[in-house]
Amino acid sequence: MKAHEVMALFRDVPGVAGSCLMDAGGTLLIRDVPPGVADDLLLSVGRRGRAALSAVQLPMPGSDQVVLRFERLTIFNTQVGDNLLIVLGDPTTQTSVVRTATRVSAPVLSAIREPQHMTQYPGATAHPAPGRRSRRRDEVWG
Amino acid sequence: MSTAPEPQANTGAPMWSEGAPATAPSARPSLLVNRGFRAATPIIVAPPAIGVAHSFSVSGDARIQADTDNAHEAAESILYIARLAEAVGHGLGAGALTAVEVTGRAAAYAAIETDASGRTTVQGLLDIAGSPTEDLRAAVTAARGTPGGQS
Repeated sequence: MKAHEVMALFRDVPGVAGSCLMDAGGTLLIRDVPPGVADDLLLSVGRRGRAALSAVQLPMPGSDQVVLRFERLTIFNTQVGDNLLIVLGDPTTQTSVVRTATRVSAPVLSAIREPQHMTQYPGATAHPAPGRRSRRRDEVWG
Repeated sequence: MSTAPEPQANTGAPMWSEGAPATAPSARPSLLVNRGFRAATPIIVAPPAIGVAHSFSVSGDARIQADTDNAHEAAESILYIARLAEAVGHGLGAGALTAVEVTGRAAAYAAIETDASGRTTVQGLLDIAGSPTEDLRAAVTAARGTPGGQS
């Protein structure tokens, strides 16, 4: 299974809206998050996620996941090899399910070194810009 | 002549206490209903198997109380993470930070409240045995006496 396909599977977890993968240098390797979230914001989340993971190493050695629960969002920061996996979910997203999904995906995601072809996030083109016309599958323009 | 083994004496200890530390939680065995198989059939299961849990709290004036040095360091880390998360939550429009969870070989759950003046209070548990954070959250929530949390 390809890396972006593995990432897309996270959206099958109830509550999860998307995920992204960054390398140790802060480069976005895979992006599978809603289009409304800018890349620089994701990178900012990633920097803080790495800092949070470092902060818990002293009192809790072997910790590989820090979960930030907000009123309207949950952010899962997980170390997979040298990479950082960020999963965005709603407040009801269960830690244990995301943790299992991460464990299953880790062998693939930890091996990613170069930015991967980004898949189109579902719904990203559901509302095309006004005035832009495209041909539908049934050959009708509109 | 029968050679059947003698029944073992009942020590009175609950089944779930085997292998558990002396400080095992006093929660009563919970009931789960296997809804997919036979509705309303109660199944007795063990209570959350929290291993060696240490507690910590941070008051609004940033004073930390913890029962071990390790828990004290965990509280410091949680406070630091709460500061980091402020910018993230603001940028994403996520609202206030309500909890921080840490998983791995050890596990921690910290419930976080920030009042209007920006004073942050924390109540949490650190479990070096790595219990599921759902169990830690339940224990913290019970200790606070208020329902909440979603993990």
